[in-house]
Amino acid sequence: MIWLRLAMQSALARKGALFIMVLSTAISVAILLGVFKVRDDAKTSFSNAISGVDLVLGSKGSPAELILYSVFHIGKPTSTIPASLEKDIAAIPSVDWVVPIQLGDSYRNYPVVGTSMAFFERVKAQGRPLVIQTGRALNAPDAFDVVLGSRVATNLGLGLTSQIAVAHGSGSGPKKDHSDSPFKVVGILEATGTPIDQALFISTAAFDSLHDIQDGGQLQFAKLDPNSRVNAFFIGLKSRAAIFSARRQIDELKNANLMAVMPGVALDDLWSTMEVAENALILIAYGVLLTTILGITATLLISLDSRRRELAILRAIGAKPLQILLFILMEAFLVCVIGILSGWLLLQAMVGLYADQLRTEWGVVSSVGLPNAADAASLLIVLFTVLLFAIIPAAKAYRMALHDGLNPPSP
Amino acid sequence: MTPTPSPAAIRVADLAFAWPKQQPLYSHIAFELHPGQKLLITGPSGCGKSTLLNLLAGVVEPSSGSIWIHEQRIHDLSASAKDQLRGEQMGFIFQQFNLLPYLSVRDNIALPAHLFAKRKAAALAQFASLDEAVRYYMNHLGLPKDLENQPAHLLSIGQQQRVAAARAFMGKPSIVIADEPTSALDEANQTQLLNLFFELAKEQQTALLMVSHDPRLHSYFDRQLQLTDASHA
Repeated sequence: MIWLRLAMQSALARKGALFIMVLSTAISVAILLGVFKVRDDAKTSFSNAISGVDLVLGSKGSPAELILYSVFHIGKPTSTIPASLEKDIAAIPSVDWVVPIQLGDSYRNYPVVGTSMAFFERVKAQGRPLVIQTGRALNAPDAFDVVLGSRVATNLGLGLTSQIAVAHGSGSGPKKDHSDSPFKVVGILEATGTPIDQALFISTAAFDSLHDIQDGGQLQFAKLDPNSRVNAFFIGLKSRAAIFSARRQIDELKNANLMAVMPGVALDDLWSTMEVAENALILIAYGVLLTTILGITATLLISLDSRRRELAILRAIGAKPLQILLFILMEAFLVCVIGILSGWLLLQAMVGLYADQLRTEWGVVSSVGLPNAADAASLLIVLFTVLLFAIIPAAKAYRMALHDGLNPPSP
Repeated sequence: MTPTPSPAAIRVADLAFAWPKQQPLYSHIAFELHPGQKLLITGPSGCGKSTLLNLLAGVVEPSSGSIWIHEQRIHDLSASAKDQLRGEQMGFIFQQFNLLPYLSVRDNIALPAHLFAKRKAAALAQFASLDEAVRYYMNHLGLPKDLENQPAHLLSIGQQQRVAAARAFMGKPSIVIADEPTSALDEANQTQLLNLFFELAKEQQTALLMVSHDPRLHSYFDRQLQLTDASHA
């Protein structure tokens, strides 16, 4: 204990230089843990971009593509399925609810989603139910009402009672304007940090009607149903345990050209394509950390000359060279432990301060919490590496202690 | 019947030393120092006074000859045993910069007792606590009580040397080696500090070995060892 106390007091006597060492360690550790946290939380948030949905049903093809256009509104849906399937699917005993998803139109490059009233009650984002911030959800299937995602409202400066004319087609390509059928904004959703924030929601009936109007014609909602087509269905089951039997029953439906995808699995597959970027980020974080460790080593080495007298006094009192070596290592250990703790606290403070912003702006749900096993293992590796590098100055101190004997140079 | 003399605290026989590829600093040095005795080592700068202290402390190996500390031939001991012997049996006072500047006066004085159980046991055999021992030495060496918690770097040179002396004597080491401990002090303070050293050495039956370039100090000591350039004592 006396050596630990001596190491602490000696370190405190050089607090200026050591503060910089602790600070740089803390920042590096915060970056490293931050990268890990962002990676884990982003992955979880990505997987939870849509939650409460057990299956996404679309026409047979690529599961990733189905998820990309139905959940993330990325790409163009290339095929449709009959809207009438909704009844057949809902009739499957294990199915709790079905929500249709229609895509293809946009408003100033933001996708317009045709869906049912149930969308707002059933679909969750980041594990939370959708909340209407102002106004109301869609409540009349045949009304030209639109509910806006929070980003759409903010970025386009739209509010309740604003009127908008959606365009046929999505993305930045040529569009046909549906200006003859303006929609009234009736509600704005709270930010979720998911693609829902960047979409507009109208009823399927209204969506169909846009495409059913002949030039100069009138809307005829009643005749839409039989021929209506959708791009996907979101399906909720009564029990997740029934997921495979539900899929089998869906496969057995008359229309054999269907594909039921478990969104979690498809999202995980999608995420794995980002492994290279993820690894690059981790590599950069470790690079920052290695630089800090080298900084600690250099600072300890530089400080040795000014500590020669101190080491010689300890040696004269009877300290063994091995104790001198441990004395230097102890300082590196202390700096590292305090740096790690400070770095962790710094990260927690940042997460605490910016959790809402992270969720709404970046779609990453993050919360304050203890490091997980992987983080703890990384921190132990950091500590071990610091001690390994600190052997260089410690060994130099050991040799100096032997060489200087009891007569080191005066300070 | 003549009483049997106590075994020598330090016994040096036929000691010679030379740094590698250099002329011998000295040869045939021999002396004995018994508990309670005082030996002055004098000589001009560069004659090897400090090297002799390193030899006695076991941190430098002699070219030839032997040194016994309490009848243990120091060169036969392992490096670790030499460190242990130095910590338990020897106290050191240097010319200046003796103290760990970040420690308080109390912690500097008590340090040998914290590092070596034998020194601690010796202190606690005489005093109720280490704090009491610290206060005893402070009082004995004329250090005001209110300096106890003062960081060492805030002390004057004279006060620092007294604290160094208190640390050297803490836990009753059998040998105190002082390397020009009063050279940074004025003459009045030199005499006062030397007298305090001698009182403590007498009280604790400590063998005191002091190096100085000032031969006038010899009257204070029982014996004197004069080193010269390439000397033969």
